[in-house]
Amino acid sequence: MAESVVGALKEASGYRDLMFNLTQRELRSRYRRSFLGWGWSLLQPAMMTAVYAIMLGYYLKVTPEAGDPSGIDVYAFFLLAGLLPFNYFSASLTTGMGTIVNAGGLMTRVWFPRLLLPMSSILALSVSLMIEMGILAVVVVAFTQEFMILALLPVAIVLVVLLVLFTMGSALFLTAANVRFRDVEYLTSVMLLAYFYLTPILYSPTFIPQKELPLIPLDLRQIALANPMARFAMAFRNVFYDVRLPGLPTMLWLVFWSVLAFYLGTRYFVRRSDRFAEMM
Amino acid sequence: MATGDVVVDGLWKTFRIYQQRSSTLKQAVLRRGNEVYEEFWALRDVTFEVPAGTTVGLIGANGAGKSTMLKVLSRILVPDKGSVHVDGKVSALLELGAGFHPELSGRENVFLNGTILGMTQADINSRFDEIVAFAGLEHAIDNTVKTYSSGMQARLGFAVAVAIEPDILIVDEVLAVGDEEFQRRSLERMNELRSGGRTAILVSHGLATVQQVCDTAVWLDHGQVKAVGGAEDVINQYLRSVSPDVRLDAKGREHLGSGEIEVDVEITSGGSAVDAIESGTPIEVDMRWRADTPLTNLRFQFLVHATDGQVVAGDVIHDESVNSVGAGPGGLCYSVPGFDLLPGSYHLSVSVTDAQSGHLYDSATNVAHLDVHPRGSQIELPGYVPLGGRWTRRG
Repeated sequence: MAESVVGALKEASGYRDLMFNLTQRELRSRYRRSFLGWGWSLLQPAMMTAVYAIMLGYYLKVTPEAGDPSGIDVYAFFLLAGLLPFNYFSASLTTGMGTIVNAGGLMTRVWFPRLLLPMSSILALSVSLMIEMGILAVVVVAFTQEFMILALLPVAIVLVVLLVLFTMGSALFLTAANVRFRDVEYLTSVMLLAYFYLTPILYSPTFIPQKELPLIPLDLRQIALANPMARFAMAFRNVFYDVRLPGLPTMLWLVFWSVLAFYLGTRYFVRRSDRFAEMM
Repeated sequence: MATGDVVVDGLWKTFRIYQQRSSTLKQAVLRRGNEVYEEFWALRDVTFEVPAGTTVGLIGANGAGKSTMLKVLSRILVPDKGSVHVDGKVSALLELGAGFHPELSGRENVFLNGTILGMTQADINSRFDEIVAFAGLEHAIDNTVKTYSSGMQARLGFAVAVAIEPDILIVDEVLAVGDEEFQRRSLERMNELRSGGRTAILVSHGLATVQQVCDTAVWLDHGQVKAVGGAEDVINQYLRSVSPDVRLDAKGREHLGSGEIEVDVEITSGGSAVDAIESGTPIEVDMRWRADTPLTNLRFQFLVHATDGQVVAGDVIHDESVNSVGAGPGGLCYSVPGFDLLPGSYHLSVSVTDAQSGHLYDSATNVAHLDVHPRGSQIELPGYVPLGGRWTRRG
């Protein structure tokens, strides 16, 4: 019935109170039961940053170039600017994918726009992302006195919106695929691991050699930077580490990928969702 | 089409029963995409209409496609061929506690379930007290739903489903879970919806319920429509097909039902059989049966009819102390301290059904006859029941 993406999104927006309810439920159940509450969600990136900073920054001496023009050279900040968006992307795919499969009973008993289940779980993670980004901004400003970061926050918000669109599109595609083939989940978690190391997050893109490749007129670094998550990492780093506006090509590339992924992912999900009840 | 209309036109729905299914990518690759399955047509060319403001019951044996039909109507399943037009806001109550989250409180679930059904937060806020009162859960609304009994869940589910004031209400067998009081109120509420011009579609194995609340009925058999029409007419056709052989008992009376048990009734007064009494005399309805096999979960019912067939009174029992019988003879006695119906001619019908599924074991009409004569100088009154009031003059 709701074959078109716009139609499906319109229908889903009629259920925005449900979306709000589900998101709230997700956030509550994630943080209510733990003593530290929100603190736990910050512990994970903090811990990872500490470990990487010791291992890579100190033992292996991976020292990325200082921020330009900010001159910031704290590896932890360099790392977090790329790690937070990637963690968000990865967590969204992993949790989003399970929403339909795990809601089996709900699928066969009631109808509501199926989009709401993965979307609300990703929205809940987006709230966490915003908070983490906010804390990062405050910490960087406090350490470096780079108040320009605050002026760049609207850019960061635009980047977050693009990242949410890109993530939702990817997650919706995988969620629907996972209903059909239940091992998509496992495959994805393996792929995410590879994707993490191939995306310049722990290291700067300048570490990738500009090696000429046979048959294609692009070098290895150019190929690696076509990766949208690499561009997201670079753009967030522009804001929080270099303290400047991301370049126009990067922004256009991100807009292109976000819109495309969101459109295609939603379209695939909506087309498959009619059959979800039968596949449970 | 007016709001509340439902039109089902040439609907086909198939399910695939897989002998070999690739549910993972690994299997799909190993089997090179080969899957082996049989197609099973759950609904075949189903066509019927439900005009706005009427109540229709779907009846038929298990596996006839009733629940599939409801799922198609409520958009959970999509048809393979044909079309379904449902005009208006739909609220479907297909399974007990569908959409309830066991770990959340009743209160949180009302909001969650309400928004799943398409209500806004504000709608629910304004109706919250009403919903809780209807479900009778004022004292338990803040407990988690996993502590609720199945009856409590059914009540809360129904209360939310009707609170959205749907144009079309779809109900599957759920009402059978609640107690009698709740069932009565639910039926009342459905009648209210109907008189408010709302449409209702329900599946029930309790044919009595269908007959009571539905204007029309659709009889489905192996996915096909066997009959559509007035509820009573369709139910009778269905019953006749379910038990084609009407049995005759020793006294030549017609019995319907599967026949594992056969009931006979006699009316007695002071220990001896009677067929005529004075109004107000104490009587007993003496039920005796013979069962071929032990049976459990029985529901015995007798009805008192007037000459035109109208049900005047009756009673049922499906109490735990009597609802199982062993093979062989048995009996129940129902005493009436004073049989107070107005003078006239009455007869009894009895039935024994399964209390849950409504499966009919035995039923017989006209099993006993009772003429009620005037008591003393009792004057002739209209109707069947003496009101016992007094006239007083004013002014």
